[in-house]
Formats: sequence, C-alpha cells, structure tokens
Amino acid sequence: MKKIQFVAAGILLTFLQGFSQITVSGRVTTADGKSVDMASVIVTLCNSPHNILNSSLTDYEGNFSISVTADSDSLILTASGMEITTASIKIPNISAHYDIATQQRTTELKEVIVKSKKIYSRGDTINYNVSSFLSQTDQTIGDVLRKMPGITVTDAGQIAYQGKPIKNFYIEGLDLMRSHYGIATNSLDPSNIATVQVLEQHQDIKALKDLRPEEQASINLRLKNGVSGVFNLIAALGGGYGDKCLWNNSAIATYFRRNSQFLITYKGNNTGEDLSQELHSSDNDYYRTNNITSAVMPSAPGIDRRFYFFNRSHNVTFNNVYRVGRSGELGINAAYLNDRDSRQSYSTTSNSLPDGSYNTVNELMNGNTRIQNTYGDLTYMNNSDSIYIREQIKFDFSTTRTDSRITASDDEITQTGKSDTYRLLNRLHITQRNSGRHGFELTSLINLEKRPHSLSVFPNLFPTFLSGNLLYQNVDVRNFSTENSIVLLSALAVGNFTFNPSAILNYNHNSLNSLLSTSIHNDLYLDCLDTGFGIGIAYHTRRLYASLYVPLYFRMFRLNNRSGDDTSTINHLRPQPVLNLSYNLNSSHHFSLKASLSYLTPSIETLYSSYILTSYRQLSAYDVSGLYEGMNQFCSLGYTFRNILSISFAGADVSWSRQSPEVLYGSYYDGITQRTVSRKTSESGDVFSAAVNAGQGFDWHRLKIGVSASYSYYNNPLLVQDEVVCYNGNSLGLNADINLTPFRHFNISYKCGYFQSAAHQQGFSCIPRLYTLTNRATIDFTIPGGIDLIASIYHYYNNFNDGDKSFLLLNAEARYSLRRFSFLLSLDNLLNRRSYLYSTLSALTESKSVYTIRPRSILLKIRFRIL
Amino acid sequence: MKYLLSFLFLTFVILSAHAQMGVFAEDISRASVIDTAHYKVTYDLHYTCHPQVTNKFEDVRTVLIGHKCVKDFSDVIFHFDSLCTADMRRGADTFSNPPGSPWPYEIVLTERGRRADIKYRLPLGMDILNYSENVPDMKWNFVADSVTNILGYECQLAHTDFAGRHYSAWFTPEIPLPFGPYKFGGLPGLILRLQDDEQQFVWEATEFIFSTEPIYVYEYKNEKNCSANEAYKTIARSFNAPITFHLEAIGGGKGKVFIIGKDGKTHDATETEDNPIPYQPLEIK
Repeated sequence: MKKIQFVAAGILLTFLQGFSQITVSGRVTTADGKSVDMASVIVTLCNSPHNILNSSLTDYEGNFSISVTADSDSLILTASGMEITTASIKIPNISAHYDIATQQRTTELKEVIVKSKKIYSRGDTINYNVSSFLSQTDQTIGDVLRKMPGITVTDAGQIAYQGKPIKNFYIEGLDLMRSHYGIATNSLDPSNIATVQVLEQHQDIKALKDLRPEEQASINLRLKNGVSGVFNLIAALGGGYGDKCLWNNSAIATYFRRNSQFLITYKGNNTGEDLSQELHSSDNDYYRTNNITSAVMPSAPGIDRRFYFFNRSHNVTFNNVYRVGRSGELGINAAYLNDRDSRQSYSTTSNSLPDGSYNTVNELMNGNTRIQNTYGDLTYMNNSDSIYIREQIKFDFSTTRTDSRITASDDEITQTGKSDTYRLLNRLHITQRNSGRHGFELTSLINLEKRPHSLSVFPNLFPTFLSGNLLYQNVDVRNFSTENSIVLLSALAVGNFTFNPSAILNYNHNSLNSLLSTSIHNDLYLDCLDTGFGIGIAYHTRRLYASLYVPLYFRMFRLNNRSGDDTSTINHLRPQPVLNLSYNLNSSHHFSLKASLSYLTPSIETLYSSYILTSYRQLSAYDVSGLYEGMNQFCSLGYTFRNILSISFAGADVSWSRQSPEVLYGSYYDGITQRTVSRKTSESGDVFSAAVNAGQGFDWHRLKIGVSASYSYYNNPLLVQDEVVCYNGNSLGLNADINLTPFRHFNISYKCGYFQSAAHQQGFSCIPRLYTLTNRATIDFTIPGGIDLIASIYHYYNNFNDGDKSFLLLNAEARYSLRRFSFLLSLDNLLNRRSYLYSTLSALTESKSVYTIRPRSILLKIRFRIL
Repeated sequence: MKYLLSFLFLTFVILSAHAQMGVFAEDISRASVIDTAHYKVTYDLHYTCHPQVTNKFEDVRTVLIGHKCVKDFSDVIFHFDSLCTADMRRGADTFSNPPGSPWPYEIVLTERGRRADIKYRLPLGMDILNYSENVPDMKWNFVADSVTNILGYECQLAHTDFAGRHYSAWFTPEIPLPFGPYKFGGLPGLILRLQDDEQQFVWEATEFIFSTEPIYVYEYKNEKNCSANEAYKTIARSFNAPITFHLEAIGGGKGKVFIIGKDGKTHDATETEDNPIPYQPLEIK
C-alpha cells in the first residue's frame, strides 16, 4: 500500500513540475543595438506556433517580461512590431533572460477591399421594417411607431423623432394630411404598411438642400405591394352613463393608389371631448377680424375642458391628394364640425369706483351655443432643385348661434347672438436658388375676411340712450390684408459679424359697419401700410452672443369715418429695435439681457364714435377721434446657475415694461350697465416683475424637488367713471413640486401652488387680498397583465369663495389591449361634485363664479377594425 | 443662435423606452495638436443603451494611433462638428446636428494606454463632461486553434474581463499594434473585432490604413471638468430622468422647456413626470 502511495506521489510531482510557471524576460533591440519600444512579444509552443500562451509589450528600453505555464521542454519566443522584422528564438521551458535582435523595416499593408465609407448627408433615411415591430395588439400605425427607436407618438397622433416633433408626414411620398396628420397616425392599419422611413433632418424644400439645415425629421410610410386600391374601415364605439346616456364613437376609411390617396374620418361624442382641437391647423393661421358684439356666455373655468364641456359634437374630415407630373402634387383637405355647448353659472363681479364705492353685478346665466365650422384647402406644390413653389387657397366658414337667459339684479334678460365668418386666404411661397448658395425666398399672403354678426337683447337696459324695449345690434367687419416679405438665402458674414437684410410690404384695409336700433350707425375704414427694410446684425464669439434687429419701417394709417365725413392720417418712420445679449461665463453661469421698443397699431375696434351694443349690458363708443399709436418698452435681465454634477440649479429673472398708450379706454358703470369711455392721456403704466427658482435632484428613487417664487408689482392708470385713477397692485406666487418613483412601474407626483394678489386704488384702502392654494397628486402604475391604472386628485382653495372654500376632484382611468381590441375605462368626477367655485382679482375688478360641471360618469370605449 | 435657443425655449416630447436623445454639433475651431497619427483604424460600432433593448444604434468610430497617444472618436459627430464650424464661419445661425445616435465618447489614451482622457457629450447641447481615469491592465486569455479572417488578416481569439463584462476580441498578430477601440488593448496585435457577451457593444474594423494626420484635442465651449465618478453618475442621470436632467442643465424654472404630453397638449416641463430611458453603461463596475 505504501509503495502505491509513493508511486502516485511521484507521478503527481512529475506532473506538477511539467506545468510549473516560468518567467521569461529580455530585451528587444534592432541590429544597431537600439531598443524597440511597444514591440509585441509572444510565447508559443514549438509544435503549435499559432497557439499563443502569453504575450507582453516592450517598454521604452525594449524590456519585456512574460509568465508562462506550459507542458513542453521548449518554447518559441517571438518579437514583432510595425517597424521591425519578426524575430523568433527557441528557448527551453525555464525562467531566463533573452535578448532578441531584429531588423528595422517598413511594413507594407495588405491590399484589402474596404466597404465604401458612408457619406453622412444632412438628411439620412432610416428604414424600419414594420413587420419586425408589429404585434397582435397593434391597431394603428401609431401603435407600431411607438415601439420604434427614437420615435414617440402622443395620444393625439403627434409624432416626434429624437424628441422633436416631425415636420411632415408622407404616405408614399405624398403629403396627404398636411398639418392634420394626427388623424392618419391614429387611423391607418399597420398591416398595410411595409416600411416606416424616418427622413432625418429632412429639408423638404429641395432648393434649400445643403443650404439651410432642417432640424426636424419627416416620416414617410411605404405601403405593401397589393395594398393599392384596397378599402379599409376602422371603428370605435364607446358607451357610458353620467346623469344621462353617454356616447363616443368614430369611424375611419382609407383608400390608397400610387398617384392618389384619400382618407375620411367621422367622430362624435357627448362625453366632453373637444373635437374642434384636432381640426386646428398648425400653420399659424389667425383671423384678422374679431367679434365686436356678442351674447354673453359663462366664462370657462380654469380646469380641464372635459369636466365642464356639456357637448354634442360631430366632425367629418376629407383628405385627398394627387401626384402631378414629376415634382408636383395637388391636395384637397376639408372638414366639417358641428358642436353644441350648454353652460350654466352664477357670478358676482365687483368694480372699484373712484369714490371708493363698488359697483356690483350678480348674474345667473344659462346659455346654449351651436357652432358649425367648415374649412377647405386646395394646395399645389412644385418642388424642384432650383425652385420651390407652394400655392395654397384656403376657405373657412363658421357660424355661431348663441341663446342665453340671464337674471341680473332682478332683471330677466334674454339675448340671442349670431356670428358668421367667411374667409378666403391665399398663401404663396417661392424659393429660387441661383448658382451656389445664393438666391431668395419670397412669401406672400392675401387674406379676405367678412364677419357679419348681430346681437338682440330684451329688455333694453339703456333707456336713457336708446329707445325701444328690444335692442338689435348689427355689425359687419371686413378685412383685406396682404403681407409680403423677401429675404436672402444666405447671410453676409464679416469676421464674427453676420448681417441678414430683409424687406417687407404689408397693407391691410379694414371696414366697420354697424347699425343699432335703426338709428345709430357707424361706417368707417382704416387703412394701414407697413413697408421698409430691416437688418439683423449678430456678433458671435465663444462666450458672447449679441444680436440687434433694426427694422426701419414706414408706417401709414388713414382713418375715414364716412358717417362723420372725417378723415385723419398719420405717417411715421418707426425703428422698432430688438436687442438680445447672451453671455456664458462658464458652463455653470449664464447671463442674458433683452430689450425692445415697439409701437401699438391702431385697431378699427377702438375707433368707432357711435354706440355699439357690445354685450347685453355694455354700450361702447370711443369719444377720442383720430389715430394714436401707443409705445411699449421692455427690458429684462436673467441669470441661471447650473451644476449638472450635483443636480442643482437656480435661476433669477427681473424685467420691467412700460406701456404709454396715448389713449386710455375704460368703463362708466351705472347699475348693471356700463359704457365704454376713452380719453387722451400722457400717463404710462409700469410693471416690474422678478422670479427665482431652484431645484435639487437626488439619485434616491429619482426624487426631485423643485421650488419657485415670482413677484410682480404694477402701477397703472385706469379710466373709471370718466376719471383717471391710478391703481397699483402686487402678486406673489410660490410653487413646489415633488416627484418620486418608489418602485418600477409606480410613480407618484405632487404639486402645490400658493398665489396671493392685492390691488389698491390711490387714496383708498386695499381691496381684500385674494389667496388661492392648489394641490394636485397623481399616481400612475401598471399591474400584472399589462393593465395601466392612473388616479389623480385635485384640490383647490380660494378665500374669496363663499361657503365651501375648497374644491376636490377625483378621477381614475384603466387601459388594456387584447388581440385586435383595445379597451379604455374612464371614471370621471368620482366624488360627484356638481359645481366648481372660482374667484379672480384683476386690476380693480373682483369676480366670483359658480360653474356647473359634468357629474360623475363612467365610459367604456372599444376600438376595432371592420374591413 | 442655436445655443441661445437651447437656453430660451426647447420643445421635446416624453421619450419612450427605446428612445435616445441626440447630441448637438459643436464648434471645433479651438484645437491643439497632441501627436501625429501613423495608423488609422475605422470600426463600425453597433450598440444599445441597455442589453434588453433590441434595437441597436450605429456609429462609425475612428481610432488614430500615434507615437504618444491613441484617439478614439465618432466619425459621424466629427463630420457634423466640421460642418458646424464651417457654417459658423459663413455666418449661419442654425446647424445640422449628427443624425441617429452616435456614441458620444471621445477617448484619448496616453502613457502607453494606461491613462484615458475622456470627453462625453451630453444630449441636446448640454455640457461636455471632461474627465480622466486610469486604465487597468487587461488580462487576456488566448483561445487555442481559433482562427478567422477579418479584412484579409488572420485573426486569433482572446477573452478578457473588463469592468463587469466578459469580452471576446479577435486580433491579428499580422498587425502587431497592441490597440483597439475604447480602452481596449494589450494584445499582440490590433483588435479587429470586439464584443461583450451580451452583444450590447460590438465593434468591427472596416479599414486599416497608414496615416499622417495630426491628432487633435478640441476645446469645446461647454466643457465641465469632473471626476470619473461624477461623470458616471451624471451620465446615468441623463438616462434615468431625461426631462428633469435637461431642465436642470438649462437652469430650471418654468417657461423654458415644454413637453408634448401623452394627451397631445403642451405642458411646462416642470409640471411633467419623467420617464427613464433603460441604461446600462459599458463599464458596469
């Protein structure tokens, strides 16, 4: 037994000896004895020279040291480098020192076929294969887009890429939806789409390619083969109950061909969902006329519209586009909206008078509004490398009918308002690129607008001024405008200075015709001309950015009051400079300064001299004849501090503005009625405001705490009862927010805000201060099974409110998807509050309102595909 | 102007789990030469911010190898920095930013690869973190009889553990340069392919050529000097709370950043809850 143990120990010793570690050291030199730096030294087996046992690099003196464990009598030591020949020596498997001599050489690289280098263009295309992202629960292309890297889609269908909203949404290269593409995102069936192309930094105007970078991406949907010519229909049905049956339905139909596309949608609900929002265009189109007279309806409270919107809404949209030639397209978009809105409120409005007393009006309102809107766009676009032409004609028509009953200070008043708006708008955009980087860009707009509107009121609250018991006010406002500008495609640069010249020519013609009770009428025209040149000068260094824009415009205004046969004209050459300065002291401290000077433009709505019944209890006329321009001065200074390493930041802003109006407009109160009065003035109003904010973040459960405070002080003249009174006031706002994620898929956020304001008429005591406090908390979590639950609570306190000064609102929502169906269950106003109280203080006017809101309701909505 | 705008108003949308915020192009007119490159290696990099995110981002990396230092940077970012600098000289006030999601690291290895000077470009024009750290020796294990061909060079396989990940590197003794992408090196040949076990980072060489171009170190406008530890924490925060982070970076406060919420409406960023972007750094520990 002992003999066996002895033999085994001997074998083990021999084995271990064969695998003992050795250290090989040495020096690599060239033939002339120079040491070789950064040469590779490897140790391999003699019978397997490709199997590297270990390696080392030589130091500055050419020395190396390698530890090796090998079952071999001898090893190969090889030195190689880019500037030496490879040299190998055979060494015994023992620790020792070796010098390796090499020769200097020039390395020749192999000829390899290299893939051509990618050319990074200013506008790459990324293709996403839709089938790679598509799952059973996806109903619309929006569901698939949400899964694609870098793409985000909102519930309204708005798409963002890399955090920025996209510019255009194409289907097979055609811009079918234009600014209303959200309808398509939430409608198109993803199984019909082969590829989503993200066109990064897509400059859609070819003439501006490589000249003007475009930060926004665009998206193009490529359809599958065979989809062309197939009709699709998707529907959503929703039902529920509040104090009556609730419904919320929609249907979407699509049909695509290679050279033409169309999409039709219908939506309808009585659940408080505002359908007018998605019909708004993102083209920044605004009306150039306003209603001068209207039936008074309860003003909207500052909570989400779905809580107080008692509606019955329907909308239909039609979108069609055709390809024309190689580079052109013709698009037609139209929509119709039908909306009914019922509102109820009780309000008290108090105005401080020059003698220190108050004029108080109590109003109980019950009103209905019916709105019908129609729009139609016809767009032609030719987009070639040297010229871009976009010509668009838009037509809008809207009609509003309002009926309301008001009880005010024991008077029972009925009023009916009618308003029609017709608008024809033409937009022309031409970009002409000559050789190189030069060319020009011309934009032109022509607007024709007509707004006839009327108000009838019973009884007459102004017997001193107007005869008859039924008042009927008829007003027609018209506008013709043309706005034109031309700019160079490239700025002129001299050193750190850049110069951007531009020219404009704007002209508008306004008319106002009104008739009150068959005898009081206005008939006037106002012409405005703005023309001239502007130059933007910018100076840019590493830390400082300064820009000064100096438009030098010739401004001409001519007022023709045909009923008084009176004409007045003013001409001025007005510089309206804007200065911006920005200085980065370092990455933590940043300063900014802004200053501007501008002039107000006279408006025809404040130039009529005969009475217009602007509301059932307000009679307006402007005594001060002639044209006046007010002046605005503004200056602000800002400082920000940030330290992203310690997650701390702070900022402070102070600003001052002065308004010198030349004419003051105000009111003369008499019981529940008021008349508009005006008077020339040399007074000016000042507003000073300051704001600070600070915040600190923590890594612990992503805790974030932020606080901010703002203060403003104002001192303004006010025309009341034909007397100019000076009033001043101040307001203070404090806000704090806390955000915490205690667990994954569980988030809590809490925000609170305190606000106080006070106003004071010179020579009298302060109006009582208004204090408000708001608290809002939201919990958002996902439970197993993929059901998302969201609950939110909203609390509001207002010391001006009568009775219960606090208001509480609780809502909950659950979402779930199963196969091709998606479900949404929403529970609104769980505490079943029936009214919302709110009070405000503005200038010397204090108001309190009780607004009827939607009762507790439940709604289940299911979305599915029919064809 | 781009910089000014980023301080005044910036609209972006709540980011989804797969999203990554892009970086802005920077002015690179201030530069100093630190070495001359003798060799230039180009790698295709495919990476994700987290191994569970399946969609990979792409970058083209350039590694310049000089006598005293090795520089690894994004060719995509450098291309758009060059355009930005040229456009700025011409008086432009808006600039094209690098498309996609190039890897925003710029690494200069000195002291024979033992020291790394790193610049990390935070998203949306925020600061550029500037920090230095030591590079540990990598203990490579060679795999016997492993042979593959990359770019016409015969390569062998070696493994190492580095900063919490296990890596496989194909290197070629035919190019006896002990370098590779990022901080990797120490092998008896140039690394032509490198990946971690989760394949969150995969480099593959597409070109190896002689070079005589200078190796520059750029001085960016908003560099923030910090320690490596501070940099790791700050980068992690930019993923864990992207909206809050951006808000802090521009000085916080209302009216500066606006978010398009899930309801399609625009909200002030101070009133919007944040959504994290899944993130696992290259160096886990």
